[in-house]
Amino acid sequence: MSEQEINQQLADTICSRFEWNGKQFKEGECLVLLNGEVVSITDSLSDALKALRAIEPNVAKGMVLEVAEPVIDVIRR
Amino acid sequence: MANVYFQSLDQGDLILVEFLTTEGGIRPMTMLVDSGYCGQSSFVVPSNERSIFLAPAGVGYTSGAIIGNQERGLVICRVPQVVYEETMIAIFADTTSLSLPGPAEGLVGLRFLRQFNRWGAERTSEKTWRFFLSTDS
Repeated sequence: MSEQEINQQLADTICSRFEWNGKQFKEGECLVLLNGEVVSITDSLSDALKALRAIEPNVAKGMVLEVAEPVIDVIRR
Repeated sequence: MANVYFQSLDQGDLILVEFLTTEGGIRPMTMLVDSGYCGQSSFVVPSNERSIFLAPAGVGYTSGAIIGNQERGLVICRVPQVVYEETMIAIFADTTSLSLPGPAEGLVGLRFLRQFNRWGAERTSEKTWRFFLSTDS
């Protein structure tokens, strides 16, 4: 599994349970995921992006997750 | 507090959004306003616009004009005329099925529009239409 697939699996778990590894997460929190671990919790996407890039400068690595129940984006156009 | 006005076409309202690039530059993009586009993401941009992709934001499912799992990424968007800058989630997808009008390169949705205190279209004294974003309360 690739790093992105591992992070996606973790993201799916967190957004369905709002919990992972004994840690509770709140809707709206922004998490930084790296190599299948939660490495930072912030209040905004902006802060999460800064936190991720401070740890991992490669833009293809890591993931920022906005904690929310799974939602379908509807594009009307 | 300020207003910014954009062109309205017969096919829809267009706005100009600046995106920061990975190299620290700016990529201006003309975007079609789609207030019926709702969800966690704010933009749909072409999948080959890698210069504005600042971090993976996971896969998200979309329905409507684009259906299925889509790649999502963080972007930093700006509307300089109203001193607006924010980090938001964009969908990077094949936009050819959207039949975008004229110079439009992507879509802005409701989550982006609701960053502003007021937004919408209005008729001018010249009987043309224009779209506005406003930070006025």
